[in-house]
Amino acid sequence: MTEKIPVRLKVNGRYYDAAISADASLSRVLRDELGLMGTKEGCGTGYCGSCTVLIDGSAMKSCLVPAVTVGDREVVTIEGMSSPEHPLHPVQQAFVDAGAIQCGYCTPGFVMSVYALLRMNPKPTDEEIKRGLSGNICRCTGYETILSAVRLASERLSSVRE
Amino acid sequence: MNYCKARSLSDFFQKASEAKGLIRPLAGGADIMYRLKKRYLLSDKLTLIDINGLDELKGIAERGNELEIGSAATLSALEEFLKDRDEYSLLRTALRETACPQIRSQGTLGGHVAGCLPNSHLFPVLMLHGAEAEILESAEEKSIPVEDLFRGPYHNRLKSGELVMSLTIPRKDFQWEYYWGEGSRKQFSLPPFVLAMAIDGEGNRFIAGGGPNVLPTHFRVLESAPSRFGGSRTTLLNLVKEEVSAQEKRKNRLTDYQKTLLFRFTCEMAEMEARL
Amino acid sequence: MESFSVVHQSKRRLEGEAKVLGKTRYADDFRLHREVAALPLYPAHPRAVILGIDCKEAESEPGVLGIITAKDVPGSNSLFGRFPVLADGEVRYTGDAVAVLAAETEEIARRALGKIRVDYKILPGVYSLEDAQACEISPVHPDRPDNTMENTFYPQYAGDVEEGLKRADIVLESEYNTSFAVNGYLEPDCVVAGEDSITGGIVIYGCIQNVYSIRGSVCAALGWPANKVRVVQTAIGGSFGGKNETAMVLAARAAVLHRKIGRPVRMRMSRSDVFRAGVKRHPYRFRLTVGCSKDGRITAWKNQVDTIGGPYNNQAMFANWRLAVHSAGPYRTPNVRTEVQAYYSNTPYSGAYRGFSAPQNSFAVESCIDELADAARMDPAEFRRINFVRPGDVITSGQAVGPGEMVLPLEAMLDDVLERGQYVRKKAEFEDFNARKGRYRRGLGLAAGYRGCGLGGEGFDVAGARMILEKDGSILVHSDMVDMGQGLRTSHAQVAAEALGVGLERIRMAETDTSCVPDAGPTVASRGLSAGGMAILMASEDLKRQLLEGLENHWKIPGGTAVLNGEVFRSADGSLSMGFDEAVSLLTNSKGLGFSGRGWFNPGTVHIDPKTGQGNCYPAYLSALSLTELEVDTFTGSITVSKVTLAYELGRAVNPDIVRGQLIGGYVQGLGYALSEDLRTSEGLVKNTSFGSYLMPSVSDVPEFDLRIFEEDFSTGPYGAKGIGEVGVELAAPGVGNALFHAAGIRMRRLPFSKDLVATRMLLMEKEGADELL
Repeated sequence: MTEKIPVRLKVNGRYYDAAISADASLSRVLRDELGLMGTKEGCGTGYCGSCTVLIDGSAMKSCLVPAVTVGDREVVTIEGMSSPEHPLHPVQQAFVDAGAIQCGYCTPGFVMSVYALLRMNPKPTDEEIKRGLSGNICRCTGYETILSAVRLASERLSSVRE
Repeated sequence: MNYCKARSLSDFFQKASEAKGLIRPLAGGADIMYRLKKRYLLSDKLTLIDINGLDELKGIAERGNELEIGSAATLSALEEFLKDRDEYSLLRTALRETACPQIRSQGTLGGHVAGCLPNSHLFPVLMLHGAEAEILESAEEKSIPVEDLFRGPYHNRLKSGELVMSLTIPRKDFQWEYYWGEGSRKQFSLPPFVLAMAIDGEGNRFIAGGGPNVLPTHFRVLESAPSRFGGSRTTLLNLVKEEVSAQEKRKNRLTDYQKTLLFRFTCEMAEMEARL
Repeated sequence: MESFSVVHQSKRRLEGEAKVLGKTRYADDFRLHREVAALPLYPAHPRAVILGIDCKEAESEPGVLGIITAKDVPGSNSLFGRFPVLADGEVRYTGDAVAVLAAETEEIARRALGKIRVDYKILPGVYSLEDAQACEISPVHPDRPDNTMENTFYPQYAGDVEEGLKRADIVLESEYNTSFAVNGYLEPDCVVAGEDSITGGIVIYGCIQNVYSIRGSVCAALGWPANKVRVVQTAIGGSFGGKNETAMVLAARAAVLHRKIGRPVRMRMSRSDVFRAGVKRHPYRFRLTVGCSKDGRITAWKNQVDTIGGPYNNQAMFANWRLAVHSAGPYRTPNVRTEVQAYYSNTPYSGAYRGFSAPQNSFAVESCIDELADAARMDPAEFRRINFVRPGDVITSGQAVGPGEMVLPLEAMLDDVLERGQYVRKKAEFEDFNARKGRYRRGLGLAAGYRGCGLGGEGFDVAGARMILEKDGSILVHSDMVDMGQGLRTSHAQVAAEALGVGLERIRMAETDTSCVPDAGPTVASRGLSAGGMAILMASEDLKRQLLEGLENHWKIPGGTAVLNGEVFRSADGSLSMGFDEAVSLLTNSKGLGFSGRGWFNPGTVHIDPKTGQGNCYPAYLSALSLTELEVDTFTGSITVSKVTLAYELGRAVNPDIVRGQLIGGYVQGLGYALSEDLRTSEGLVKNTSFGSYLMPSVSDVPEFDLRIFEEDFSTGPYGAKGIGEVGVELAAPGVGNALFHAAGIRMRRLPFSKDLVATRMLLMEKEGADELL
């Protein structure tokens, strides 16, 4: 049994005290310790992107992030994307409107990646969108509608800004 | 498994000297998590020393004609640093092809080079630049060419408790350069061969490549006067061929595909050279 | 065309918001009280005799709760297709489980698993089709000495193929090979077995494609009747045919273990175990001898098709039947001789993956058609045009082409695709471009196909549905068909709303639960909407008739005269009317009536002669046509598919956006099958066991699509829908292969088209002195 390290996590603006073994991935801690089941694990080895979350604003694959390393950083999961005042984030709304959802298993990870992409680059070209989403796999949609969703979200978010 | 946080560099070496078994510095953690999950790395006798608090390892700076990058700087931080520059364009391309945005945001340059991925997108480019790794063990510091980090695929030459401090990448002004590193899918797939080639301002020709079965290798670095080689296609091809047979003598058999790529791009290089 | 108020419209997915918020609960997203983790012990060798199993040390580990082996299975240890719950005496592939261990946590279970000692006597295995046919190694099952799988020989005979070959001016022999492929659903398999708190029986939760067959298997393994086992489907993160046999053995193991230790048991597969133990697409080998006349008319089509299917057979009998029927493509071919056979092997098992045998068959048939066109020096478009079946013809299984189920407007679709894809102009342009012999070459490739809808001769295409009207006017719908992400619930709800004459927001689609609707078979063969939607339609009509009767009695008007449209009931003359809510309230609250609708769809049997493969094999057929445009880098073999022009005839698109999603999503899976998905096995072991080595397309591999849907007013399904879940995957591989031939002059006869082969062949073909380096 590996020793447990006490860590204070900040997830979606709330603090959690957890005892974590050093080899525990953030995705397992989010799901098993904090009960945040919106973050999915499709492969557990960093290939599919279903477990993407934001750490200090950057998208990362939480299945490869040692949870002990995020103690003083800000984690946002899919559950933190909406609030009672904003039931759907514009990125989420765009996924719904563009029909970019099929089985939905990759969806939370895609939403987080798109959020991070648009934060860095509010008006990406198609080429930049493709590069930005190269770490997320979707087996259902063929990506066509996901690309439309990103364009839609980009348009809406920039019109809000302007 | 043991875990502790290093408060300073000296603290790191202190803790490393006290720890038993295998010691690994923990920065981004992507590579270590992957190896633990795949059981390439066993947690039993492992000590992870968290170096995330060591800001002195995170810097990226241009000093004269060199880039100096702290080993705990992430790949995406380097990408961001190089974003609007004309120099280091091969490096930019190779960075863009490395893994995916999420892993570049997490993974550090130190972790990448210590990982010794034989078909890394970055190594051949770092080799063309003549990049060096600064390695520190307690008080001793040394500098070695990045390719010398390889002991074998996925195995580095670092001793337990040694730390890659930074990478120094000399700037090169190439008049022609080419990069190839596509896997079976357009992005986020490890290629069967990565090739980086360039001709610098003085006409020196560089070819470096690596693949799952061939550690990153200089297939040709011609630092001497180009006139000696005449620039003809046959000569260049023969030089590459020599290197290929030298590799084969070391039991690194290139696949037909790797040879095809070398042949094609060497011919391209010769053609470009004729035009320059 | 009829006018519709809810169907034929791109309504948003009912569950879209829950999914995008991360609220949808998949099989691993909830926990039962006091549940435990269980892991299987997979064998160290693909084929071996188990001499002994010693669990003592593992059992005494702290936190270990119990271990089961074959002797613990109380009922039958041989499930459908011979799948054992736990290996008994011999292991036959890497996914057999020798034992299953339960512990307080997965970590403890994993550690303890390593302490189970198994003595094996390693046996030589049947690892390839060649091994299976050679019969030199002891057969996989002693009762099948030639390794042939029972009930998997299917022929199609028409005319006299030898005569047809004699009459041919051009005869071509060609072999095509396809590889194992994995479904690649992103949610790994997961099943939980717990106690049914009311009956004391078992309830199984899981990502399960076919809840009824899994209930049957759990009953068989426990020796229990169906009334003691309930299977509830959680949200499914993709399946594509895959969450069947693996889910079946998972559920049976979890159930047996749960009965032994008394606590809920969760069995969650890791991704690498899904690769090792899970389903694969059949790797068919096609040996074709075909002939045509000088003017390009096909005279003979001889096709010997063989595949390995692993050690157990759930699906080859159905896949082979489908293949035999479609084995000569939608062409006028008077003389056909196809024989399809599957063999047992000690490899991963082959089963259902989107398209079933069709993607493989389409690759062979459509590549061969192009080769024949080339041999006849004809344009592949023209060659197809003169050979397509058309009204008045019969397809090679003897079914007549005509309006209704056999529309097959392939010629019209070809014209359309050639025009939209600017075939003539681009072909000339590309050929000019390629004549310069530069590094890059461009090509166009056609592929066509047709697809029998539903199960056809594979089984009864029945389906069931039930609906309950609540007092507030809400309508709860139960279907036996499952939504795996394809959008079935939304399409079903649209059918229900349309048939009832109410708004979509009234409909609530219930979770799939074996205790709610009778077993009407699996959600496979693209029949979820075509058959399942018919049951919904019938249930809606049943419910509506009851409502109208109730109101007719209240209004005291003759039966059969009231109507319900747009949520308003009206008498025939329009003098009486009442809104839906008011009427429901009146009938339920004031009159004490209760309403529920029931639908059971049974299209009857199909007629086919098993000795010849002739007959009306499927109730309806879809047509498909594609034009693929690509660029190949002759230096590196890298292929970039830039544009695909698609046409499908599919009866009616109940929800056009969902239909498009299915067709494009399917096509991109087909692109992966064509270009990058290369599942390799060696001596029965799967070599690539992660998404890092089994590469499914990512967003940059996707071309631009130009899709047109052809609709027909008359067909068998609800509002004319035919079922489109699988057809999208079929045309990608042959389309890319044909375009690659056009671009570079290389014919690739094995899937996937590997870059290295393209690059090395191009080099040998074009560069003199290439051996300088090679």
